Amino acid sequence: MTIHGFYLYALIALAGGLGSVIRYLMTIFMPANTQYLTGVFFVNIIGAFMMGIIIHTQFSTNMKLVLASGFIGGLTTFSTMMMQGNQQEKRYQKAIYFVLQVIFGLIMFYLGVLLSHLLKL
Amino acid sequence: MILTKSLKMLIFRKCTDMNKIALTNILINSSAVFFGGALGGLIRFSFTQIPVIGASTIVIMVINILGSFSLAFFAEKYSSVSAKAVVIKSFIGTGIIGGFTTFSTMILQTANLAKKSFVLSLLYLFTSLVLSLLLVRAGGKMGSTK
Repeated sequence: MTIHGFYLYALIALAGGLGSVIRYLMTIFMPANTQYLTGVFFVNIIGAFMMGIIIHTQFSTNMKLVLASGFIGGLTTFSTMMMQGNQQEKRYQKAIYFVLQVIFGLIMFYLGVLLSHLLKL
Repeated sequence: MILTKSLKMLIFRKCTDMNKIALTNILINSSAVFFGGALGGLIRFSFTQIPVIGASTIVIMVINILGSFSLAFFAEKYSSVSAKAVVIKSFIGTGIIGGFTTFSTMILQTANLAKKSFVLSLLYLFTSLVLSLLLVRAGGKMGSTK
């Protein structure tokens, strides 16, 4: 599947928009919205997991760009995480919030890589 | 000290109020987020297409830091809970800036860096987080002084 030029940009925009809407809906409707495990947390670790699956697959470069840069890039967010972390009251709470998200993000990423190896994608 | 504490409480309260209003206007806000997210994603993608440095960690770091600053700025600036302000916040904040910044690519680059040097990957994560946190605070303060 070859996509290039204008269509590549259009597809990335479309995928980014879709990812963003899913993020928006997930952050609103997330039932387990506790202090650390917020909607943003789940969106980010799910995105990291998907990134792990996609990154070593045999998909074409442009296909990967649309999925990774577009969809997953729109799905995950760094800025909202920073704002939410900054709203944690104490300094150690901020640290827990960020460390949890980064550690789980990395774990999910490697799980995704493992899964894509096992399934030989 | 008291000022920053009350400011934080204020931000927190606004966010929960925002969610309540958003529930009633979910379709309008979703489409605002869609177009904003498409735009933000395009801007980020264009950044990563810069020749030579485009794919480097520095670009993603700059994107994330810039985005964190502007999100805090706009969240303060449009801090009213009127339906119009919420739509603007959904478009600019959740959409453009949320789509512009990325967590997944940061994790990917951290994993790639860790293959070469574990210390470097930790440094990358730490620098991104600390610089962004500082700028989130700066953005919030700049947005609130109208």
